[in-house]
Amino acid sequence: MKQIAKERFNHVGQNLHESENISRPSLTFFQDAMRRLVKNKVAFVCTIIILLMILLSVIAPMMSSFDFREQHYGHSNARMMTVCDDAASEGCGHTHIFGTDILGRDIFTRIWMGGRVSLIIAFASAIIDFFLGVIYGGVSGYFGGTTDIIMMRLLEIINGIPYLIIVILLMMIMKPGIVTIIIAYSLVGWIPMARLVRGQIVALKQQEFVVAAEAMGASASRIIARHLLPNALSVVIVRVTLSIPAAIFSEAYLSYLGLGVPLPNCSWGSLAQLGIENFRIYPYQLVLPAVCISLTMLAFNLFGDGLRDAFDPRLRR
Amino acid sequence: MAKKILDMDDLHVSFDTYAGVVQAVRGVTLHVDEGEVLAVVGESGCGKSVTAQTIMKLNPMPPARIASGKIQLDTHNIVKCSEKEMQNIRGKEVSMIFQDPMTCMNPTKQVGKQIVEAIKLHRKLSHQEATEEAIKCLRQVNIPNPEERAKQYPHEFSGGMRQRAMIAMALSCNPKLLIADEPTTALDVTIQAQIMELLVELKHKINTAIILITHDLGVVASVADRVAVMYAGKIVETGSSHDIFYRNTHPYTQALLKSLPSPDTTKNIRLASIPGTPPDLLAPPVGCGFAARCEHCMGICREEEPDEFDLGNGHHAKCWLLHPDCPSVEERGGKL
Amino acid sequence: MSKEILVEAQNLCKYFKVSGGRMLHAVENVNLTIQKGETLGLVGESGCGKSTLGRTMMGIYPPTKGKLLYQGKELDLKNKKDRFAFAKKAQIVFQDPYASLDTRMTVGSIIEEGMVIHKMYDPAKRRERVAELLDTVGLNREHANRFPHEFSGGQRQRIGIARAMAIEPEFLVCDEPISALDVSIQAQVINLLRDLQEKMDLTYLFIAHDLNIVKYISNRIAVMYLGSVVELASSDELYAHTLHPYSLALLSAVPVPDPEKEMKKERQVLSGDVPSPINKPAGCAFSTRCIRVCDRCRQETPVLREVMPDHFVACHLV
Repeated sequence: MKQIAKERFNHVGQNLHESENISRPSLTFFQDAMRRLVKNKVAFVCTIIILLMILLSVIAPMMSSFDFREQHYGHSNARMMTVCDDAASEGCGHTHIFGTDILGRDIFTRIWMGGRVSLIIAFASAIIDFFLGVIYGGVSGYFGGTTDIIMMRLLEIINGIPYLIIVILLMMIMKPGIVTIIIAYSLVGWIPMARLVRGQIVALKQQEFVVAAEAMGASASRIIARHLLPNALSVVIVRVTLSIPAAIFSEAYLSYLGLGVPLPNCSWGSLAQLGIENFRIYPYQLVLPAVCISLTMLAFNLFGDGLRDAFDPRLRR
Repeated sequence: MAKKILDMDDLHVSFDTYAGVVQAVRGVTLHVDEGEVLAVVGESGCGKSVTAQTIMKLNPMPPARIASGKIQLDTHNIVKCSEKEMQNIRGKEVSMIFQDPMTCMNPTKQVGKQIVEAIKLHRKLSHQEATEEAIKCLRQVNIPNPEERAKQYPHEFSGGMRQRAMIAMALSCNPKLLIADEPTTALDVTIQAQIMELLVELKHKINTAIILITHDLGVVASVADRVAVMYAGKIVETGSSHDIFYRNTHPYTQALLKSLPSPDTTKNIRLASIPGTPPDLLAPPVGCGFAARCEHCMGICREEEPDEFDLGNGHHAKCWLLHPDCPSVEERGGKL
Repeated sequence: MSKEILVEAQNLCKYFKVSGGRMLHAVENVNLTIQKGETLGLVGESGCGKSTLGRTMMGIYPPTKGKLLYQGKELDLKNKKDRFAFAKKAQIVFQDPYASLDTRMTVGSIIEEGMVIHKMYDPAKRRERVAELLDTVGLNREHANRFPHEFSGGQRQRIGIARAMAIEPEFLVCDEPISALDVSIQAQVINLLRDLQEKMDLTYLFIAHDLNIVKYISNRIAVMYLGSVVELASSDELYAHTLHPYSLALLSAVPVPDPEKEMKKERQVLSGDVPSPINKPAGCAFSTRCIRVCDRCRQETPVLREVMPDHFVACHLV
């Protein structure tokens, strides 16, 4: 046993302030989730892809020397990377990076114009989805009982109407265009979101912190706005992120059926539809828009997955 | 001389987290002999569950990591065992029962079938023999009508009976060591009494060594032969049950016992609580882990970790108060 | 502790509808009074209805049958205004410190919320009070900007107590406030609750299953089994002269941290499990497990009656 100096045994007593200290940095739930998301390599790559798509859609048509409607008769169905020699065109001397379509229009410019349309439709639908779904689902879930039963049955009735019929009817009443497609999709697209939000609210309602707020005398609006929705938010955000590819695909599918944006406006779906006619001879005219659709959808899906993992408290390390 | 079933020497287990390395277990040495019950007592975060899970290597190895130390389970060197070797050891040499039996049993399989599965994995018995063995195990834990009960599903069992079924499953392959991780915490008092009585009965009948992890000192008093008190990743005092309850020397053990009211505690006495909270093991304190909350804390306690002092008969404690050079209370400037 | 009755339950019943159209009789015909300044302990095992009774007595659940009186006046909990006013007088501390705090809010907002709802003080004074409350419960003032997930169970429970105290209630229901906490932290919270009771003249309904703690903190104890009160007496009297067979089994089942006492103890271990509150046995609810059961017990439900001064039991054999 080693010898120890007597002074070292002097009484010091408790130090409680130190023992109540929290050494870790304070992170809100979202900050922690974002940190985890960034570490997820797949989600990171997907974020880059999504941003790239958005950037190109905004900038590329502006920077391109060709207009998306401009037709070059001598150069229809040109291969990729052909140089334009149409003297009448502004873009004379510049390269058709993606070639031209059957009417000689530059595909590169059209792809990114189409990107604008597809992405606008997707984001707008997702936002309308979000608001309609959250409000409907929130009210139904919180009030429960008869209100919930009636609202959910109504929801199921609306859901039962075939989507395509609604779209066709709308097309007959309204002029085909971006707004029509957004309205058509939004008429039924909010239903899964409403169901999801309602489910979340019903589950959260039973949590003790909600009971505590009710015991405190909080009003229904306060509980929904301050307690239920913020806690349901993570699931909702993930759902919104995943509804974007659904909207993109829906638009592509409608355009493919000829119910999409009218010519000469383009969207990825309508470009794909044009491309299929001569697929065997000029495959790039179909492949290019198809790749854009697929890549964007995949990127959003994987990003949504990454987001869901980041928000899951059980995976927190 | 009793045979040592488990010999753990200076175990260090760390977890790699986003905020840094959490040293969950910081040098634990303990042993369990054949047929004895060792209770590991401590509060949440002290490392007792991690220690037990490391014996069976149940912690996912990243982020957990055995930083150093040795675990000898009978003839097996656990630290050096591969995952395949561990699969042979788990269930056969050592098994575990958990706090919540509902989440530990497969809700879609009959209870009898789950036990048969465990038996067939480790023992060479035919299906018929294994089924009979399973019913025998259920009978051993005092489940009435074991033949019928074996055909039922977990949700048809009550809480206490599920815990018994889990004990039956754990003992089905006659392991040398049973680890019980808070087996009665989730149970009502009267059911807890039933389970404790069962564990005592089994201890006498089948000679399995038991490590009982709990924070309930009442349960410890009724069942344990030896007790190890853990705090902040270390064992601060260990000894026989009588040593810990009647001859305790570590301030944490003493404070813990004083904070429990007994039926004789009168209302005008204030409960002796331990102020403050256990330290964050992300940045463990330099000296003794209990120093910040100890009313006897001395200068040396903050600077250096206490050595282990032998108090005779297997009773050890880690506290500077036990050092021969330590002066009396008045000389130190402390208060009684 | 005055003899004025603060809260009174008269033939209080609370039933819930469960799947299959059956009724769960969680609380059946409970008659209890709680005097101002006292602590009434409520003990029993899972399914006995103690949590439901506690929540019904402070207004979370409106009673299905029977009356709830506060300061002698009957409460109509279906009336929104009455409920709101009662919320300021009666509060609750929950069992699970992890589920009872909203993880999206800062600790400061959680504590302040009650004051905001009841429009107490101005924002600056509210922040001041939050800091005072954090001090009172033994936390640092800086913790007001942190989030619940950064705290330990014991600290969260103290935050829950601070939240309940913020609106200055008179009656506090403590629904198993220490069951989820470690032993050394339990003592801290109990001491805190006692200090607050003295300082602010509070009345407690203390629900727990740890009998030692309940005996320590309560003036009187009510033992519940399957929705009814089976025994009610002062805590000393209950331990000195335990009368109901269930109370006897309950008290003997509690392990004491003393090996010698444990070895010598004559333990009465109940056989079988607690019956489900949906399918209650006919007659006395305890008849299926009672060692002294007789025919009358199986047919007739016993009523709580005074067998000794201030000592009530519901049993035919006493």
